[in-house]
Formats: sequence, C-alpha cells, structure tokens
Amino acid sequence: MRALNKFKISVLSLFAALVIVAIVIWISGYSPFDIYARIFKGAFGSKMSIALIFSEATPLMFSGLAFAIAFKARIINVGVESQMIMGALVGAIAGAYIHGLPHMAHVTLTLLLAGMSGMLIGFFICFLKVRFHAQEVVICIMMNSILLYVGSYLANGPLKAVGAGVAQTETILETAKLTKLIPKSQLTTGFLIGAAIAIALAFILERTVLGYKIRVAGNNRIAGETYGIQATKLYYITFMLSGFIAAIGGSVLTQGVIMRFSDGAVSGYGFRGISVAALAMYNPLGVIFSSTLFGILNAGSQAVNRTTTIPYEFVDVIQVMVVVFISAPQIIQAVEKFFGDRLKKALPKRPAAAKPDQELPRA
Amino acid sequence: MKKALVTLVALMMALSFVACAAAPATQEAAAATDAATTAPDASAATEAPAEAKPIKIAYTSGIKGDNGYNDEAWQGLLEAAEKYDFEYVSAECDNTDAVATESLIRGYAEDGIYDAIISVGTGISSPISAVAADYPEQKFIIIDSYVDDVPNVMSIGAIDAHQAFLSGVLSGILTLGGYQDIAPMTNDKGLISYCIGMDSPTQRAGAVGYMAGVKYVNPDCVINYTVIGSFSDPVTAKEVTSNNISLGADICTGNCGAGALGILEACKESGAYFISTSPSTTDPDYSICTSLKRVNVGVQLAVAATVENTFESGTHRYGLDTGYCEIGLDNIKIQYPAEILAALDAARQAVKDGTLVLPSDIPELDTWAASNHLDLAQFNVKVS
Repeated sequence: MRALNKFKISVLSLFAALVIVAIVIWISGYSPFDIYARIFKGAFGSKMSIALIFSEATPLMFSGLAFAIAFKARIINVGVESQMIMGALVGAIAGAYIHGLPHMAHVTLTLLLAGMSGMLIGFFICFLKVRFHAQEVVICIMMNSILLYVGSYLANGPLKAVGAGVAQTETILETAKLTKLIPKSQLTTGFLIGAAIAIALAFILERTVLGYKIRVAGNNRIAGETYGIQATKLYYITFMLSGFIAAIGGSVLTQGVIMRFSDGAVSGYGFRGISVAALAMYNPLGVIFSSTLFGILNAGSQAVNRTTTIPYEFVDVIQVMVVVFISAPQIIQAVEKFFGDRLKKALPKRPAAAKPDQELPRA
Repeated sequence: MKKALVTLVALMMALSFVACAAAPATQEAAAATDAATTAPDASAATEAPAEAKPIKIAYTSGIKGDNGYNDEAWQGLLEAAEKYDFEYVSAECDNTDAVATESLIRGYAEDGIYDAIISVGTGISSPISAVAADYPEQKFIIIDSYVDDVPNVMSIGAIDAHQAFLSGVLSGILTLGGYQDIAPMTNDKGLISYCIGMDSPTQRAGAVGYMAGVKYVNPDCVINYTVIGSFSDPVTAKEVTSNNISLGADICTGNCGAGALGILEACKESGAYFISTSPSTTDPDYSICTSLKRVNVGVQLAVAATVENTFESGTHRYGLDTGYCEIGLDNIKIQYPAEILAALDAARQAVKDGTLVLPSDIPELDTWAASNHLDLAQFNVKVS
C-alpha cells in the first residue's frame, strides 16, 4: 500500500511538473503540445535516438543511485558531483597510463580504482561529519568546488595532453574503453553496469542485514542505537558506498564517452542525480526507470535543439520541478484530494476513497 | 493555508488547459518566423523539389546570447546566408560539455542529409574526432578547434599572433608619448600592462603577437606580462592592472576572458587606456582599439568551402590577410591622425606581403625585435 502511494506521488509529481512546464512554454510563446510531441518523436524516432536515451540515462543512473543510497541512511550526499569528477579523473589516469593489460582486466581495474577514489572522498566527508559533527551538506558543496578545481588544475597542468590547445588529458588506451552496445552510438556497457549496481543495491537494502541496518539508521537513529546498531559505522559504509557508485559513474563517462578527462566535461550530473533519485522515491530499482525517463527527455530535447529553433532548456525546468514536487509531497496530496473530492461529488455512489496518507514519505 | 494552496494549484492546472487550447495560434506565428530565418524541415521539404538539390548545412556553436563569441559566429552564418544560396539548421550546446556536444554533432551526422556540419568552439576537437571516425562520408568543418590527419575534417582558425599585432603597433606609437593631445592619458614612460588567462601555447602566441607589434615601433617599451591563471577572474586581473598603472603603465590589455572586465575597471579607476579582444567589452571612452579575431569571417570561410566545394582537410589558419584578424577602430572616441593610420597600414601590409613574419612564442621575441623595426620617422609620427 505504501509503495503504491509513493509510486502515485512520483507519477503525479512528474505529471504536475510537465503541466507547470507546459505553462512556462506557453508563456514563452510556444505550443506545449508541439514541443512535447517533438521531444517524444525525437526520442523514439530511430535506433540511434533510442540508443541515445540509454546513453543519456547512464551517468544519471549512477548519480541517482549514489544519492538514493545515501538518502536511505538520511545522508544528503550533494557531493556526488565531486565523487564523479574524482572518478572521471582517476579513470582517465588509470585508463591512459596503465599499460599491458588485456581489455577486460584494464576496464575492470580502471573502474575499481575510480570507485575506490570516490570511496576515499566519501570517507573523508563522513569522517568530518562523524568526528567533528560537520554538516555534510556544507562539506559536500566545498568538496564539489575543490574537486572541480583540482581537476581543472591537473588538466591544465601536469596531466595536460601534449600539444592540446585546451585543458584535457591524454586519450585513454583502447583496452580501457568500454564496449559499445550499438556501434556509432554513445551507448556502452556502462548502462548495464549501472543497472547491475541498482539491482545489487536493491538486494542489499531489502534482503540483507546490512540493508536493514542502513534503513534503521536512516529512519530512526536513536531507536537503532538502542538495539545496538552503530549509526556512525553505517554512515561510513553508506557514504563510501555512495562515493564508490558516483565515482564509477564518472569513470564510465571517461571510459565510455569522453575518452579522457577534459576540464568542465563532467558537470551537473551530481545535481541532476538528485532529481533522478527523488523521482524514484530513493528506490534503487526505480532509479533505473527514472534515469531512463530523464534520458528520454534529454534525447528528445536534443532532437528539438537540432531540428528547430525552439529553446530546449525547458527540459531542465521539468527536472527541477520534479524535485520541488517530490520534496513537498503534500502539494501533490492536496491536489489529489482536491480533485478526488470533486470526483466523489460527481460520482456519489462510489465507495469513499481511502484518506490520503499524510505522513512524509520514508526513505 | 492549505485551502489557499489547493486553489493555487487548481488555478495553475486550469491555466494549463487554457494554454493548451490557445497554443496552435502562437505556434503558427512562431513557425512563420522560424521559416523566415532558418528554413526548418517543413518548409525545406515543400521547396526542395522545385530546385536542384539545395546545399544543406548543419551549424552548431556554444550557447548564443553571450553578446560575444557565439553571437559573432552566428552573425557570420547570417552574413553567409545573404551571400550564398544554402539551407541550414542550427543548434547550440555548452562547449565544455563534451558529452552533450558529441551527441549533438552525432545526431546531425546520423541524419546524413547535410553537405557539411560546421561547428564553432574552442574545446570541440575531441568530440569531433570521435564522430568523424564513425561517419567517414560526412564532412565536418570546425572553427577554433583543430583536428589534423582526419580526411573528413577541415579546421579553420586564426593565426594567434596576428590578432593583437596591429593593436600592439598602435600601443607602441601611443606610448611614445607624442599624442597626449588626442590621448591625454598616455605618458612617455613606455610601460604597458598585459595579462593572459593561462600559460598555454595559444595564449603565448597571442601575447607575443601583441608584444611584437609594440617592439616593432617602440623597441624600448617594457611590457609587464602576467599570467592570471584563469579566464574567469576579473578580481586578480584588476589587481595586477592597477598595480601596473601605479608603476606608470598607460595602456592595459590582455587576453584573459572575463578578466577583461577587471582590466577595464582598473583603467577607469586609475585612468589608463584599455584594449579588449571583443567588441562587446570595448569602451568608447577608455578603449584605443579592439584586437579582433573575427569568428564570423571564419564561419563565412567555412560556408564558402562547403558551397564552392573547396573543402580540404587539415588545419587552415588565417590572419590579417583575410580579415580574420584585424584591428577594430569602431566605437571609440579617439580620432587617429593620418600618419598613425599610415603606419598601421604599413605594418599590416608587411605582414600581408609575408615580408614580416611574426614570432610564435615569447622566447623568440627579443631576437625578433632586434632585427625587425618600423621607422616611424617616414610617416612623420610624433614622438615626445
């Protein structure tokens, strides 16, 4: 029942966001129907555009999962961005400078090294949180800036590719590149890795003691501690897991699309991950679908950008509005109640609907 | 409270229905303006059968509306559209976002209907190479990024040293101190402030072009050269420039992105002249000229290569000869006398003829300056 209610809130939030953006589009002097139709057609128009949906979804899936798993323990990891940059950077270094490995081993090693670097950042943030009671949100935001500039420095300085006019590192070796699922597209095995991680996370959360503990630490830390669940230990585990996933996402970008670390290329995924996680109601399996949904919007909006002069930034507004509605579920519940009441009056013989669940959605 | 909220949301939803109903009319209007400016797919389809297969160009750049680089490039496309007969579609995307840039260009390549894909931007060589390898039949022309050794990519760019060379010549003349009547903030101390954003080969080549211009007419002039370390740091640029002005610098310039605003600010505060690299930051009261790198000329060259079928892979750099690089004297208050303009023309002509080859990096400057000199006496240029 609760799961159904969450699902309803998330679908209605998306719908409400689409409606609000339709108004924005209309005020801007365009036809919302026309734009939505073009986005839809653009996203599903050809084999390549469908590949684009999933390749656009891939980094969002990683950042969404990273944010969602941390949120399960009530940790707000807005530092996903920093961990992704770190992962992309380490992926580019390991991909370019480790020689002589076979393809499979090089790809795996690069991903793992990148993941571990993200864990390190997660550990550091969590250390400050647990040991010095630092607000993790503040530390995370600082970490985002630090990694942004560390990456910028390395790409401009010590790691700069020979002869490059812009700030970027050397291209990674062929052996470190992820296999393309569809030739000529940006879709790689990265999507499958992300989906596998999502399934593994869902299993951990629902079927293991660790997952249970994470949920307890998140939902009611004091009650958990009374039962002997050490919240601090779980904070560390969750934060490092979150950093690990985010950094693998960064490395997947490096190894699948960018093929090197390029200053400024990995940006914004961390924050869009918050939308993805929120739309999925922080459910790892839901993240697969919500990231795909944003993939559809992005792929469609790119087609709009290519073929028309209509501004495509509307899609970003949709993503932001989704977060607003999910974070304030009572708006949706109120709207639902409003229309529900009208409906009841119109159809008096129907049995009374259950009162909408007024509690906040649990992680 | 809650009731108010409910009403509000209901109102929004109601409004959206109105929006949807009213939409078709506005859409037609929008479509009409679209058709006039960009010939989108619908009108292209109806017109196509009448003519012999029209030339189609897909154009991408960074986000327009920056009142600078990307808008100038777009202007170039519009200018080319008046000169040549072709159809185009356009899209924009943040150039630092390699992922989005690649999928945008890939999308056009996948369409497979364009005679050329013209892309403008500094950081796009890596996405272009990735896509060009997958679509060997598609021609790509890129401006301000460089891809060599790929047969279907043509790169167009400026000779970096040419951009500010003439500005350097003008600065060198003014800082001799003979023109305090028309440029009262100049002095005879012979000191110039120059800031660059990053210590990169491209940036150094641009800087050495300016310095060569100064030394060409005024070998004793000192140029205080500083690396800011960022293209988005007006504060540091202003500090550095203010300090140089206090040491006696009368002309302050640089190539450091948004840092230009800091340089201009320092000039306004302490009273010195300014040279920017973009018309958008030229100040009528403080600028003595603008060092133009006209990306619009680059776009026109790219269109010409497509329309006239002169596509040739590899890197093609243009300078003062094509007008790609030029000194801009528009939108400034100072009126230069004929002798200064004659000296500028002589310097331009020397570069155009190939009799004067500019240095390409800073270590070469001193030996270059020792053997190249423009005698100002022949033009009757005043020296204090």
